[in-house]
Amino acid sequence: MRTASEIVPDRARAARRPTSSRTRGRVAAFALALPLALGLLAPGRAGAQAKHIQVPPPRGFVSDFAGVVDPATRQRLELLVQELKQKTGAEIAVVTVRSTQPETVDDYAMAIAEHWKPGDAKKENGVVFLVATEDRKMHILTGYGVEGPLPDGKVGAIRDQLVVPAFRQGDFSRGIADATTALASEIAKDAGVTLSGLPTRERPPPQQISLLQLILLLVLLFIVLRIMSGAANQGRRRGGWIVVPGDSGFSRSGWRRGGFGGGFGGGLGGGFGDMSGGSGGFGGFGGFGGGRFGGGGAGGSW
Amino acid sequence: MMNANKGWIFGIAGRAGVAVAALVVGLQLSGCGYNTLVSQKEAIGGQWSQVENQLQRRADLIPNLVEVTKGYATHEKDVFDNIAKARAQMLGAKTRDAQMDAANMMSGALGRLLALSEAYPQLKADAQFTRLSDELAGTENRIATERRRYNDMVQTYNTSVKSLPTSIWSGWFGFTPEKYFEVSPGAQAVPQVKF
Repeated sequence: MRTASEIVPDRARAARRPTSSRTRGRVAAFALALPLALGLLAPGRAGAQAKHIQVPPPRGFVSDFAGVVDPATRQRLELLVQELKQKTGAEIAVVTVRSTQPETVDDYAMAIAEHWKPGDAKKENGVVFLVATEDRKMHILTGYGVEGPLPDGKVGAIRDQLVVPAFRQGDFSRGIADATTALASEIAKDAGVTLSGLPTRERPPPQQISLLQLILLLVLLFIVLRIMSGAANQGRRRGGWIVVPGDSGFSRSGWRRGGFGGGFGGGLGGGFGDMSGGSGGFGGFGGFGGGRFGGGGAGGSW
Repeated sequence: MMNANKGWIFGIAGRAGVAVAALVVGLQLSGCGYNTLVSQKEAIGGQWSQVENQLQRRADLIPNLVEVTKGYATHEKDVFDNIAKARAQMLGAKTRDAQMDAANMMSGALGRLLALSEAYPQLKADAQFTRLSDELAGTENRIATERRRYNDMVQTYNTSVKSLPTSIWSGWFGFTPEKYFEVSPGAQAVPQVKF
């Protein structure tokens, strides 16, 4: 499967630089315009990962987009994965969709893995368990870090013994619950812990602003004040030294959604939710941790 | 008078400095630097070794799989011969090109081996065969994943090499477009485990 990773069009922002009309400034203006023009010609820096398949954002550890898991099971699995995460750092993303067409179920599972990144960023111990109910296909993807406790053969056995029989009877909740529990306990066994089904209650922090966020806020405040005072003092243009988030240099970091214009909510909430993962909330789901996947696992139809 | 003159000269020097700095920064940002190509090419090499790892992993699975299959499908000499041939070609492949061809040949041969399970129900029911074919399917998926990442990197690099203004000089330093790891049409069918 070859992918045409999108080429990001370079914004024309560069072209809008004011150029001095004075004769002396012409050389400088040309010298400025040249690299900027070259910048326009340069290829967009497309991401190395193919993220061309669009997937919806997660709803929790269990994202039941197809609506086939009963609420009690869903709640039980949320707690189970939360406990697994607390004890081992591993995360299992359980996803049901009606169909993955036109993508194959394994490509779609990989897209989920690459967008959501379940698992700890260092341990890379995430699992994606995808069920496409109308396609009658499922796939379990194992992250790099759980290929030891969950070799493909074992995942295949879980599929054959727990998933397929239940699914053939139309009991999605049971198949998903049994298989997720089996996956979780294999990971837990490998890490030398046992799962009770109940996570330890996380202390609900009244204020969820971490030190890092506080510092960032202060820096932002400082920059904003700087801009405002600068604008007030003199109408003179002095742009250039301020790096605008979303500009090429920063586009890889968590800043990309918000930016100054988009507001703090988007920038901080979104960006940090993705990375921290561990912090509070009601259900304990604060975004996945940043795990990577190599394509291992097993899938099939029923 | 004297002062104004001086200011004029400093003005020129200042502007020239800014212009040079802007030129350098602009070239860096536009991604057409020599260093960019070097790091992109390095990344491709690194990613290729990921592909190789998975090809090796597949090669390691084959003897066991062949052994189990031979126990049931005794009359399928062609299939086993093809696998042996592909394996030999894989081992003998020295260049990246040759490795790609051998890998595709192997995919085709393995697809036929797995298809045997349809003709031999006992083979299909064999627990060890099931486990091994799951491992093989997972490894095929791993190869596909690493191959896609490799191709993405090649695409990024090739775009850099072929874009202006880099294309003017990239050839002087030996930066030529890299080859994609294409899947040959015959090998495209990833062996699927059926129930």
